[in-house]
Amino acid sequence: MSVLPFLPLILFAAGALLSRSERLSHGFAVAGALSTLAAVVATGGVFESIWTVGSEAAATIGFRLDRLSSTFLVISAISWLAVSIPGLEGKHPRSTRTSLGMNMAFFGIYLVLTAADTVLFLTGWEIMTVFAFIAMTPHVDEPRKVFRFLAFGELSALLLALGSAVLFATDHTLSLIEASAAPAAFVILSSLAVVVKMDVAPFHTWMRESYERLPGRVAALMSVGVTLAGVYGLQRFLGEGAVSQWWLLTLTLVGALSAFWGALQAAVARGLRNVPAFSTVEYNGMILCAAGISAMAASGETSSLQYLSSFAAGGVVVLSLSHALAKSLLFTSIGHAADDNLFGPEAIDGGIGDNDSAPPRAVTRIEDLRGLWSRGRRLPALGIAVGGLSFAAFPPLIGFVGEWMLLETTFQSFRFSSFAERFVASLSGVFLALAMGMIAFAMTKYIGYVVMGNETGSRPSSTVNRPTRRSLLSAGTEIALMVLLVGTGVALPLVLMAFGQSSLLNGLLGVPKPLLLVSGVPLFGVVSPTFFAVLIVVLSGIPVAVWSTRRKSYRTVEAWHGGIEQSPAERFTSDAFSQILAHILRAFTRASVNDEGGNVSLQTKDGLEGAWGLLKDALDVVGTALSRLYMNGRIAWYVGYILITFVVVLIVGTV
Amino acid sequence: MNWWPMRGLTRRFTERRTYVSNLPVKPLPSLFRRSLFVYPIDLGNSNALNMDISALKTPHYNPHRVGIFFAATPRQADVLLLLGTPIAPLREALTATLHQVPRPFAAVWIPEEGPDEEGIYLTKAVEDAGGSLIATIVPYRGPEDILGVLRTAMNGRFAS
Repeated sequence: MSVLPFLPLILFAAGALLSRSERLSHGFAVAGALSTLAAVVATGGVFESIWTVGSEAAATIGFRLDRLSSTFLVISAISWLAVSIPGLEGKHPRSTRTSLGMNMAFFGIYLVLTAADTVLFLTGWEIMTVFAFIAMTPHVDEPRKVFRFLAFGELSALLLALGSAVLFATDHTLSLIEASAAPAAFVILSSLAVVVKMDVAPFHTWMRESYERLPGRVAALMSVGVTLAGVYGLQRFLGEGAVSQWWLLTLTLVGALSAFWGALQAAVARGLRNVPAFSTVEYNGMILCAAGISAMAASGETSSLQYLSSFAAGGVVVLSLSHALAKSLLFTSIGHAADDNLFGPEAIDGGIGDNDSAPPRAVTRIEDLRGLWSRGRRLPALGIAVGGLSFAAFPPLIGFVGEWMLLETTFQSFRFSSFAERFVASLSGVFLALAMGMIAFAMTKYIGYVVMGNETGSRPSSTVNRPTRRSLLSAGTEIALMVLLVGTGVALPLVLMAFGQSSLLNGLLGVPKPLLLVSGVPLFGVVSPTFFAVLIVVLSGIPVAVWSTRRKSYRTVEAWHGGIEQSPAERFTSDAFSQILAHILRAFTRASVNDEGGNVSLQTKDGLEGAWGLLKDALDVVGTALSRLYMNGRIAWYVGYILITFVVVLIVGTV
Repeated sequence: MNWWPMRGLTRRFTERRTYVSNLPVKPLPSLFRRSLFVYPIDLGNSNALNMDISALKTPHYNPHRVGIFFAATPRQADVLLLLGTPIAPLREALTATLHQVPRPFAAVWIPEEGPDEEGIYLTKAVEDAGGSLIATIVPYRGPEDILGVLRTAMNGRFAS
């Protein structure tokens, strides 16, 4: 049994070594994910294997599983399975780097989630970042587009390293678990590092160009796997020691603003993969906000604040699970729909191979995949619909419960004693409510066009309804994820009990314990996802039964286009759908009219991308000036550098 | 606020006649169960028919008492009242309007000067748009003929 927790690492490493064979490599990844689940079940979620390094007793490294890491291991393993199983079909040519990157990223994430010390954590973090980058590189036409991801990743690693150094310098320990009184600087640096990694705004600006052509499984890895590691880190570090109030307030507010920003960008996005990508920004913002409020409440004295803290922490788990399931489903379905010959042989799942000099036309826009259901691609269409509905908080899917928990958390801001906490929690609630509304808008657009829209009619009908390749594994993955999304929503009490959150469950007013999820003590709000699901089935079942037994009689009428004659190919596009929001909120979306030879469209920009661009330009100017000044080609300057370095090393070494 | 059909009847503004037409009238589509929303379209009549439509809206006839209402646009109409013989410049507009009425719909034609070959054109235009010409009122004597045809088509429902 003690070997079992190390088995996933071996399997992922083997998968990376065999990356030339896509099927074999993904087979090892699947085995690694399954053995992860087996390890958690076999050890009961508790495991420890610590080694002392060198003569200093305080320097220990090793692996450790506790409730938090087990929870995130289970969620991660489900997402790893979801992204690996479609790869077993082996129909993605030239995917060596992708297979290598994915396996090693899983390896890194596993290290992060099981590390008992900062050294292993940092190692896993760096492996995850570098190999996630490698997994992306074959799928972008210019490597420049993903450099920003690497830059943010390295910034994150740097902050983590600084935090670890602070921890070691002050507490003389490497341990992540036992540092119960960790210095504030460590908590601040480390939590900032994971926030950077969670794609929280403004650290999301690498996404727009990078996601454009990513295959479903790589996009799911970036959106779910990597950010889950960030969420785990956040919960781990915020649970360490006392955190200053202002830092928690900042994190909470940043989370809420990020949720708002991500939802807004998703609502006006045109890219097929950009809408789910920006919804990651939104979701991780919500998770950050919940984690911040949880940590704020944890320092409270009263039992109601203590309960609020554990309720918000439960919200983090539910939100993480719902995000992992729904996003994996969305990206698997998108990959499934885009990777057969539906759109011509040139469009193969993201399109570009390792050594392809002539990039084929890829399916990148919502309009490219329009009308999936009417083209006969029912299963991916259903997958996108169910995943999207979960993000739109549609009951009884688990996304609904997650967002309900978060809103209930912010509604209880009155329980805080200090004005600043009350104000920030309430203000966050405002931004979160806006975000939830806008993401529902974005998902309405997404489902409405990709799933339910009419096909554009620009393609020959011979390509429609005739997928040449069977994608049974993708189909199976989609069905399993759909069942999980509905199942975890309906049977949420079971999920919470499995993740050790049963204190949040109770019974009231005829609802037996533990079917009721209670948001506050003294009683504030309750919901029973199970009863809610039963109610929905009954209440919607009766009208549907009545409707289906009666004769359908209704009248139809042609759409009125203001009397303007339409050409047969003319459609109301998804861009047009979101233009009203883009225009009204132009202060945020920076919408401007683009007129190219009478072809008028509304362009939107992410203002934060521009801010990073300005920073880059400024650094370019400063860097050029500095290099001209100090790296000026004169030998005397270089001799001076060497001497200064020598003296500094001598002094440091002596001290 | 007074409920106009009752007020008209109790204050004796409104006649109490129940109209029945002797003209051949096809039954309405079974979709229409209760009230009817009527929209008159002037196809180029002598204006006398327009006056009659205005008269129909007065308290004297009070068509609301029998469930007949005037729709604000063709898209809200169940029955079209086609007034007069279509003149050439209005044919295109008529076709466009017919296509804006939810299908199925009914149409009643009052040719004013007796039916001619335009009747064939009108029947085809209405059927092409998914409706059916249920009656042609010839001879036409006054607004009571319109009420009679509509009441007959409604098969006596909403007796006053």
